[in-house]
Amino acid sequence: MTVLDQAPLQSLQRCLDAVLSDMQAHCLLAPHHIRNDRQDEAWADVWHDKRLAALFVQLEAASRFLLNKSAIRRCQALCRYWRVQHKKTSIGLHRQRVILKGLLRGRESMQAVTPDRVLRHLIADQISAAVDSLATLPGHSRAEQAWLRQTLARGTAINHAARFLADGSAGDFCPPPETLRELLGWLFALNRRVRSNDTDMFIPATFTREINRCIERLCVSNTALVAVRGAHTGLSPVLNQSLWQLQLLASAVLALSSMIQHRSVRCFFAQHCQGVIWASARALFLRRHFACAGSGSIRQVLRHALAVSFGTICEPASGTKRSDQGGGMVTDVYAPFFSDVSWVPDVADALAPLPASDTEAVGELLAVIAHSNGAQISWPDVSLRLYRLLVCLRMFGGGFGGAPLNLIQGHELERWQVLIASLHASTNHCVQLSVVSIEDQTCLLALLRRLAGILETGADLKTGDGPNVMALLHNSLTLTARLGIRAQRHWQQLTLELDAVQQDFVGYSVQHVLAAELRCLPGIGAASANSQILPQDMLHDLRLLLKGSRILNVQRIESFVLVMTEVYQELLAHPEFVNAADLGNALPRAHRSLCQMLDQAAAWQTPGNARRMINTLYGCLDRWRGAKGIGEVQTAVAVSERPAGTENEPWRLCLATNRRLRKLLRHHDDLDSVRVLLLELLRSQEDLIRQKVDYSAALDAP
Amino acid sequence: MATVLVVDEQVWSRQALCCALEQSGYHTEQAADLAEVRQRLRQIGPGWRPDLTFVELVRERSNGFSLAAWLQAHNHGVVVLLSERDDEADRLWAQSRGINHTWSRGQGVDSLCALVRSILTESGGDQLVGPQHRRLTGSLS
Repeated sequence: MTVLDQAPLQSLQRCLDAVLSDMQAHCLLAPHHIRNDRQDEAWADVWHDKRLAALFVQLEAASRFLLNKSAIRRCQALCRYWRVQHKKTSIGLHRQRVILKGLLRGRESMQAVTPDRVLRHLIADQISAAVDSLATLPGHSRAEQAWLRQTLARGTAINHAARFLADGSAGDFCPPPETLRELLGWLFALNRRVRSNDTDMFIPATFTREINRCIERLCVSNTALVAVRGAHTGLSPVLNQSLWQLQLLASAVLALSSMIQHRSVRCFFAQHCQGVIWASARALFLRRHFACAGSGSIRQVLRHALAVSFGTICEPASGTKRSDQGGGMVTDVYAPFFSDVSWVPDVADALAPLPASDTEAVGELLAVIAHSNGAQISWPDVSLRLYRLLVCLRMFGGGFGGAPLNLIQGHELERWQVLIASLHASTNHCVQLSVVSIEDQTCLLALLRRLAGILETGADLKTGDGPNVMALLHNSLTLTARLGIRAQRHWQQLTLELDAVQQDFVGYSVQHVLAAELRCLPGIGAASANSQILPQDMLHDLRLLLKGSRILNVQRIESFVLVMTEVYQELLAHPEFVNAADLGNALPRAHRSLCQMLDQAAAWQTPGNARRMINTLYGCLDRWRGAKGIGEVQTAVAVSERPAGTENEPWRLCLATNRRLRKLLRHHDDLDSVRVLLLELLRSQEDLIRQKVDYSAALDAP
Repeated sequence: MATVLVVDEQVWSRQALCCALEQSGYHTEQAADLAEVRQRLRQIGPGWRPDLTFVELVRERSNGFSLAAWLQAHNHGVVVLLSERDDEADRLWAQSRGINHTWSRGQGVDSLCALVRSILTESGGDQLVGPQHRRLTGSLS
């Protein structure tokens, strides 16, 4: 048994002592204190005590986290033995002694059990294995059920082991409930807690299994694709999925590799994980932009992935040497894939003189980058300029503008396209997402400045500054992959939290689901007969949209959709509401506004606010309910959309907004669900108050 | 001779596209935005409509989806959305807005000509098909 560190061990032992004192009270002390005919009776009481059963369950679960394999086997054998004996109404003295003896040995093992940091690692390892298997999940309900059963058992063990953590947070780790998604949500939460204070972890061996699976799929898919010479087959998505999965795994291993103490091993993993990420990203880009299999780049992915896979199972002290040996073994098995691999990219042809027609696009880009600094950077501007440069390169590659395509080396132009496309993708993460950190933005800005430096010194391009371009391409692809992974995880987590019941967004990105599943909203602007749209169809769209906008954090759409939902719920309950005079005008305009906002969101632009439409729709609702005597709202407080020019009109709008706020606060138990709408109404009110103040100030002005 | 309208903010981009189309025998018109489209309509005549319209998705001002959907809804020929973003969600959203064709410049001049030929043959001069109908019957690029 290896005792690694005494300090964290103490807290763990305190937990264990509490558990073992219970064991002693029930199992060890009782037989000695009670004599003769009462002994059997007392033993039977102890035997059928539920607490003892719970202790054995804990012992079995905790034993999985011991470092010594023989101790694990011994404890688990004891627990199995206990389960068998427990079914019997009475057992003999010999069997009692076997169990007591086993418990004592179990206690010895448990007292020398892992310290807190190692236990954290072991728990995190189990969580990683559980979460990683999600990514390989095909999305079929039957497979999910099988996975759920397996992971529930693992989750129970994790839950028990987490009781022994030093920070006393065991109470927060509830056993996962019935569904797969809830279980994943729980695993994510647990992962955050367990890893929060972790400073010394090594790479979980369980990653090897997932990496090997991906490698197998990649080999099979690539072989089949090469056999049919890049034809579009059903294997293509499998290949893409495997590449994506490898990126995820490599990123996870890369994150952990910084915790490896041995420098040479750390460098080895870092090099190959970055290699996997870079090569996968490149292969995906090639497949996406040029619809080719990119077998050369896939071979590079495989080589790096195999190095990581073999590296993770070798001893840290000899990691580098073993990996080389592993590479030899790998070559035997996967020889066809390494026949023409070039490890070091050929930098001699890495340079492409940019076409003369790009001058304008490059000039615009340089101007935007030059005016950017850490505090003031307009990512939408940078994104637009990068996009235009990409358009230029694509046109040039496509033979537009009279550019002779054969004068440009295909590979060189391809590298430039991939570089600009990846920088554009990273920039879009900065435009769209709140998951991008300041460090990421700084990193991206540094890459853009390097790009600007290369573009500005056009002479270097022609004379040859290949390493700079290749290094920039490498760093850019790594950043793009990292941001993509983080965004994916972020959305996945939010989807689990916000889409737990209906599961509208299973297996696809939010954007895909919204683009494909909205039934009537997108076409409503062009449709002439809006009255044909049923409220329940519109409510379906609005419900989906509400959830999607929450996941993507588009608050302006979310607040507007909340009000639209209220209107359509009213329409569903009272169909005659559609005949209300003002609603007939307001609703088509509301549809058009919402469509426009969705177009803006789909084009990665910031949607405009819909405060005026929100007020208009609320006005319709207020007047309708006032006329019908529904609720507390009086017709008197209903206000028109636009101030009529009277001095007190803003005050009436303010008053109405105030009433709506109070009503929302009063009628919604779950205020979080209307938080965004409350904020939007408050902003609206603030605007109105500011108008009034400005007006007064103008009157007082000399 | 079929007329193709190209709507793009970038002058060099739309000129290059028009140049390629003219070399293939099509008559072209250019516009930066909706205001210029309307201006061209006034200049040429109120009854004039293009047979095919290319609209760039990414724009600094206004929105490519909204512009394309408006042109599609107002019978400005079959609308093709130009995009280099390579995003499947873009294609799906465009489709739900009634725009059934998206195209990337990286596919090259030959692909452009083939697409234009195919769309014009398919539409058969009947450019009055609304987006709702086209969504049910039209082909996807």
